Amino acid sequence: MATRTPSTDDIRKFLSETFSLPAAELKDDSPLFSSGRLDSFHLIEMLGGLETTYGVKVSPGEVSLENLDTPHRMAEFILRKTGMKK
Amino acid sequence: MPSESLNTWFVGAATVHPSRPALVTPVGKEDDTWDGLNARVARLRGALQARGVKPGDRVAAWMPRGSDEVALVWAVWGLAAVWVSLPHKLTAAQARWQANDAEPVLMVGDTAACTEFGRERTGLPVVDFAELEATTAKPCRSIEADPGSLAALAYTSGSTGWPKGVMISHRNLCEAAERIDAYLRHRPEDRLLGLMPLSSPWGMLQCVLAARAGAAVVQPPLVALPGEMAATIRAAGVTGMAALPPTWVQLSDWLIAGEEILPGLRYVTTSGGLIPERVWSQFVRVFPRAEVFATYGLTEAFRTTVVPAGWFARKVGSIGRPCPGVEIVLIGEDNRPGETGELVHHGTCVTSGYWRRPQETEKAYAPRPQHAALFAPGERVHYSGDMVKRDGDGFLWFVARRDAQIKTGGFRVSAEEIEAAVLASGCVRQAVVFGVPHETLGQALAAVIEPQGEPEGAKAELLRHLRTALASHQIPRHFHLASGPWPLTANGKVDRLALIAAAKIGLGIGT
Repeated sequence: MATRTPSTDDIRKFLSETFSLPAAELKDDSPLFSSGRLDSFHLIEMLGGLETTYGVKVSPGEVSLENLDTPHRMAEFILRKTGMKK
Repeated sequence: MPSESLNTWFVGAATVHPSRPALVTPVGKEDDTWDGLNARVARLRGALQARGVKPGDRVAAWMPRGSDEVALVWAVWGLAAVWVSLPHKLTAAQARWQANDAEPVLMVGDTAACTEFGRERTGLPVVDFAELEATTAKPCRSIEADPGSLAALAYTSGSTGWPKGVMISHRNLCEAAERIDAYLRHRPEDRLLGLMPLSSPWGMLQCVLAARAGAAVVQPPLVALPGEMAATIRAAGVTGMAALPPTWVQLSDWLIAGEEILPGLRYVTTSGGLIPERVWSQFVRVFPRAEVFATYGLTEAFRTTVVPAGWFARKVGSIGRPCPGVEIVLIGEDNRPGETGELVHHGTCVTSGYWRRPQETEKAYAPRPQHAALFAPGERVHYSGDMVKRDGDGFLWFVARRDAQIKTGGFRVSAEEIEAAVLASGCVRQAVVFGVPHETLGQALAAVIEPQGEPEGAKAELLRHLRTALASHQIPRHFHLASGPWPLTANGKVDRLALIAAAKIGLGIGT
């Protein structure tokens, strides 16, 4: 199980690769779900990817726009989950 | 005018319930009333007719789910034309393929779809929905369709080959609406969440059921997260909801985690796969006033069974009993009808075949020679490929698939179609695609591949290719790399079972 601590750039790369989104178009604050860009299938894929790549198991109550909607929010969320945030 | 038809139901809603809401869209926009929707649809009919749409013509739509699409389908039905909705999650190449197969006289899309289609150079006339709606054409009277004529084509994947357009008649939709409403019993005050896509019979039926009752369809949230779904259900006062198992699992788990409930739902209904036991048992808490209706059906014979009101708690996991008027037989390995066997629909609940595919229709819709005696001559028959058993109360239970068809998140996936896409990437010499158990999706896709050249690079390139060629639910989640030569069976074909077994070990996945 990986225990990387990702920067926002890492997350952008992870998302770009997982969903074939062109990296140049993916900004730190690009809305992923609130724009309708990612659908419910993508969500399942993303949750699986977060577990495999960052060792983070997202609990049902944590599936929210606050935690997952932009690369920046996702990076912050993972840092909080892995206890790495200072 | 016939007493019961899609058209009489639509006109009836506007006549009997003109001021009631028909389409409920997000905050900030006024609801369309039935009277307003009727006028809007009449103008859209005029706009379509001005572009040459005639009875029997196919009109294809590639639009996001929402009120615009609902207005468009009624306009198409009101011209006795044939509705072909392309799922929004298709890639442009897949949409082009299905569109060409249906041979529509017109394609309607939102702005993004029109841009993508422009790039595809289909040679089909494409119009932006906004432009269509802005057309100043004379509103046109609706045209009553013959009940046996086509209302829609619904594309579906089998276990082999390419997607096929199931031909759905007006009568198929009307009869299905009546058998569903026998248990859902919609009233004018109902507000249905319009979640199911209009590319599937179920999505179409939501619109039909709403019109028949004078009820409203609520536009689903753009955001595919359970919190947003719950918020929409509350804010719009949704009373009835149909969804596939992954949505139920995510929504139910989210509500439990937040200790929230949705008391406004008076029914929830599902089909398309299995919901885990632990999630079923949550329903009584999170949907405290809802009757739960588990159902079963295929695109070729839709919404044919139900676990009736009051039975859910005793029959958790069952797909229900055949609805009144539906004919189902379970044919065993001994070719005789019995209490266990392949579920076969027959009679009027069966659609009429696959669009322009006479051989595949002949194969899927006619009785096998050894079963001919079980059916009336010329009767329509459809083999589901599902092995099912019946209990002492007449309730049906899914046992296993008969073939290699995979069902992931409620979507049927053809292993052959995915294997072809994998090989088309040029990164792989051989491929076998199969399903593995997945708690939320039912099954997830996995693939064994023999990479061409450097393995990790080939795999990365393959994924890049697949993401442009396939929809999200068709891309394998797991890849097992197996260098050649691959094991062969006695007749010289690739030994799929041996490869799949080895892949499962390699991936650490149970059977």
